[in-house]
Amino acid sequence: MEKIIILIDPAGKVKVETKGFKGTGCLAASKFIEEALGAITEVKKTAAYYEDAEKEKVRINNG
Amino acid sequence: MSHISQIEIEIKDITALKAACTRLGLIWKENQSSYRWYGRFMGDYPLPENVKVGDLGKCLHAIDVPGAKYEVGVTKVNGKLTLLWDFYRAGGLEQVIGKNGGKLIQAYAVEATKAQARRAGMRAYEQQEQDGTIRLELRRME
Repeated sequence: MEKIIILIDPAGKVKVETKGFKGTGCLAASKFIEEALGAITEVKKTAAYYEDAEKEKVRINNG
Repeated sequence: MSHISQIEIEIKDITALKAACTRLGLIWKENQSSYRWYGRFMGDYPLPENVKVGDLGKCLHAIDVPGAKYEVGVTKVNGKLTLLWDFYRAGGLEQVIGKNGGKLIQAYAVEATKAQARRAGMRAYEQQEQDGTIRLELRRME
């Protein structure tokens, strides 16, 4: 299931995490939240991101 | 597929800021043009960026914090909503809104996220973690 998880600590620090999105679309999926809240200071792509990005590349290469 | 991003909060949604006040039991004072503080800048800490000494004590709206002597001012600095407040201990604000106003910023971020989720047709599930972190899980409505 597609999910966006937002963790907000008592110091006001915010982390946004996406889960279950197909393809590299997770970056676009959470943009509406990130832009509404402020400015992104750091983005970490998880291992799953790179695996999926690799699969997408293979798909594209295979037509 | 996933990624994790970190966000520096900017207050953009005044309705969410009002909701954050309600959430923390604070009282929004619409159009109150001054907020209570020590009244004189002692120069013992740096002012927020682009704020001048003459700006202190003036605001567009104020937030009354029950139990605290001082108030929080809501103003605009270079077009951006900014909170001005005196963290001097006897003023009683830091005890309620946290160091650097962190608890008020947290409540704002929660309310702003929920409002944005609603606009996008998503449902927000809220959970409080043991260290005081608030976890929101957004899912598309079926």
